[in-house]
Amino acid sequence: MSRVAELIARGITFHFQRLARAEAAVGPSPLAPYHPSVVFVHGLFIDNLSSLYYSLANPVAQAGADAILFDLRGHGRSEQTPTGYTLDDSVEDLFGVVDALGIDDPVHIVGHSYGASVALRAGLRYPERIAGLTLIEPHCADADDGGSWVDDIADALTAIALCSETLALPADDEVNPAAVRKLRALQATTAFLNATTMIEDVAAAPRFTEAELADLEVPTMAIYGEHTDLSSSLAMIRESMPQCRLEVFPDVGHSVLRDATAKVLELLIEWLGECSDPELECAAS
Amino acid sequence: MTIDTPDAYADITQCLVAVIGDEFLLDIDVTPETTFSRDLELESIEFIALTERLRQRYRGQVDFTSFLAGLTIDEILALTVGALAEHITRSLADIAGADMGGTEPGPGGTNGSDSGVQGG
Repeated sequence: MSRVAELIARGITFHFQRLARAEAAVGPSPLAPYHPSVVFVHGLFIDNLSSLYYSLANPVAQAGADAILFDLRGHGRSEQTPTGYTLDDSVEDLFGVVDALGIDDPVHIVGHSYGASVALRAGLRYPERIAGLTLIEPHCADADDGGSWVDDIADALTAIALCSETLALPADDEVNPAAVRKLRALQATTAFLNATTMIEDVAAAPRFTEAELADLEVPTMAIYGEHTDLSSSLAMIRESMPQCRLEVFPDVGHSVLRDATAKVLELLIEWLGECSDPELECAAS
Repeated sequence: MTIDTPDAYADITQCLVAVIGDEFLLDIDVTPETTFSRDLELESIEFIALTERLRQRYRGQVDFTSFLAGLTIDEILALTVGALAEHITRSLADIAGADMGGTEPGPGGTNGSDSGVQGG
């Protein structure tokens, strides 16, 4: 309902947040000397910028970075369009937001899940505009059983879209107003899936190839949970990207960001510092 | 630099109405103990919108970035209206104290570095 932090990019209204450390803030600020611009890209459909806002962006801003978050097209509080949900569209949207904010210097991109796939594609397409990548549980390889990773996501979205037929309020005047609000939001999101090309667009995403990953020149850190259900993607990165700093967290799965937030944050700030410090040779150089 | 009526509790309630609509607040008794997540069922992104409105209301005088950076996700989920109001009130009191002492204001003097809003 409230729309207060918006910008126009590529003719579309995006909800964004831009966070920075207050001058009077106390505590260490390891990134303050470099003040890197860090763009956060969230996951697909039920996700929005809030997951990264709460877990990483505020502390990264507090550490001295210019933290930028935006809701992907059709997600959160950004505009829903009938089409335009391919991985490449998301990459263009990302840099449209960066341009709209007037950021000319290379940015660091932090992506989570599908957002990490967007970040990886951005690194392949516009390496000159990127100072570094942090990929948290990226999808990039087809599943071990041969199923396409994009088809897997599309199937999951289709299942959600079908749920809309069963969503209805009980005929009860005493229904909790908060529950009503939640149900309406759910109905709106499933209606969104049924009214747009999102599922088809995701399914049409081009595959990542071993050759292009091997040639990626952008300093990159990838983070996975030991028990990730994206084990084939983890293997692909391990084998095809020896230049990538790979961190596998024990005892967690795809929800590594949620289950090991503090450790991810610690690594991220360290990595951002390495990628920003001209005195240091970043892992990929 | 000080806000004229620093009634943080009333401001939060007013901003809540702007974010989720008064129709959903009519039947809910919002008290300082009310939690944003469990009691109000506020979506994560709605809480961010609420914070955004409060940033604008206090014109950068309240440092929400530091406040939220110091909380875990579970602590944010358990956050009460009263705890947020207390942070706002304390921040404004610190600025008022600094003004009385002739020093520079706190986060409010940062040229909107905690505004969270640019572009448009």
